[in-house]
Amino acid sequence: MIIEIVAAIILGCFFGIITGLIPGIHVNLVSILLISVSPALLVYTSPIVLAVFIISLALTHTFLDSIPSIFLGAPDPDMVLSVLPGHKMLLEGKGYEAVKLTVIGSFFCLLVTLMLIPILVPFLPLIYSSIQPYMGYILLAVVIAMILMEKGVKKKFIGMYIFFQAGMLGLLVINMPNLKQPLFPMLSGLFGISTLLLSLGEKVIIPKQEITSTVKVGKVKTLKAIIAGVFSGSLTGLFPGLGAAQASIIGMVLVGRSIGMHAFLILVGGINTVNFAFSMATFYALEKARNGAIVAVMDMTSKISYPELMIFILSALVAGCVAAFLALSIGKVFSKLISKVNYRFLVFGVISLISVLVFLLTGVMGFLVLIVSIFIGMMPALLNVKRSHNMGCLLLPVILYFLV
Amino acid sequence: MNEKIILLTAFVGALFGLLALFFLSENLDYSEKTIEKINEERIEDMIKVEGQIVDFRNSGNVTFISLVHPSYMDVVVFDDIALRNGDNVEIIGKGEEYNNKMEIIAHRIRVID
Repeated sequence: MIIEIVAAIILGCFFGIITGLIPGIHVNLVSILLISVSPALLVYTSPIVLAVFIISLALTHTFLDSIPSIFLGAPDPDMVLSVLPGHKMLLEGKGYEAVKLTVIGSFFCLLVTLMLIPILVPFLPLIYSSIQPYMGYILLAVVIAMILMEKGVKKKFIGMYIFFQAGMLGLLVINMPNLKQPLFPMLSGLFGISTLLLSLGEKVIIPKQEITSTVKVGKVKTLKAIIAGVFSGSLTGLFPGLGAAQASIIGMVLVGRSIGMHAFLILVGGINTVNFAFSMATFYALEKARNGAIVAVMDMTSKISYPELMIFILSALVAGCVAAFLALSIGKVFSKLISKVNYRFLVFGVISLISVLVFLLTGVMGFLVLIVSIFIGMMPALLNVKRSHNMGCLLLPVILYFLV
Repeated sequence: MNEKIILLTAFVGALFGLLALFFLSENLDYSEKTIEKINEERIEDMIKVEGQIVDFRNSGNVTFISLVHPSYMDVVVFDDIALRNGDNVEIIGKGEEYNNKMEIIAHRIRVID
């Protein structure tokens, strides 16, 4: 069986590179495809091996999706908050450093989470039932804190307006009938294309990227970011309706502004990975799936035993170690190539790519959502408030889900 | 933080993970049992059985299967699944006594050649 498991990890990492680097190709898409062909595959291999493949794929994806987010400004939904700091570092010639910070977050948060899972598993049902009734109020407090962080009364009001505007958009888009993958056009418009279009007006030139072997970030800040990453990532892995993007907001409020841009990238990278890793524990302890990849695992394995959970944890460890190496290597390649490309040409290319993908994956309705989201996405930058208020598009529907 | 630390930790982690996977997966292969043997051994253990479906009944969210293995064996699945008489299947589950008769509560079923 070990040979099959190792083969599944290698294949999972390979497909994770593809889904991680191409904006819009989400793990859920591959998971759905795998479910549809699983009856044929299960003739040759066991469900556990297929589950290991999905876990390795999803985990590798979480290590690599920071690369298009930082270098192209084309974020995966889970990495939307890394776009701005990542883009800023790219324009300082430190794109590789930004990738490295997200890899540090993903890798070390993964190690901590995998060590915690066997300890926490017996207590998860109790933790879940204790926190679940208050989850909506916790998120509401997070939103209020986010708005209050704006300086001055006027900006606080603008922040609140932006939050509700994005929230209304989120409610409309998520509840739209016949719109597959509603988050892709909405988040690409709010955080990706809107950033790119605004940067076009600034005559941006991407400098030659530095490839350094060290990255300067304080030990305390790194530790804070890892602890906050593990905590908020675990919350989203445990509760329904919460994703890595919402967890980033929780983490951001937890650690505060003083953490700085570098540690923030560690936090965002970590949350994204923990969010997936912890959902394996939720699956075992509560028999509930919290993301598309785990839905696929659940579909194939129904129920798992403790030794099987350990197989998943160890496979995730191996895949995470491979993914850390892959992300750093691919990040270097992107760093070398990016300064040789004409920025305006690149931006037009990325906008066209995202638009075509949105049209192909979500149709005319998705394309309209993209256009509306682009306009809403530009507003915080033009009104000089934080762009994270646009996360209302996900936070408002989730708060209503918990409270109403 | 130096890149070498990340890569070294990743290398050690991968090596440890692979070794642990090797030992764990060796012990994960469920032993194949006949219905008579389940009576004799610890019934709470996960077991694997392979056989041909000779009777298949679906009643809402519960599916009842009779398997030839080579003796007859009753299997209960708490799910609505689509199988046919004559399918060769591998079932992983636990033995349970019901009405003084041993049956398998299936956790996982797959069609095999």
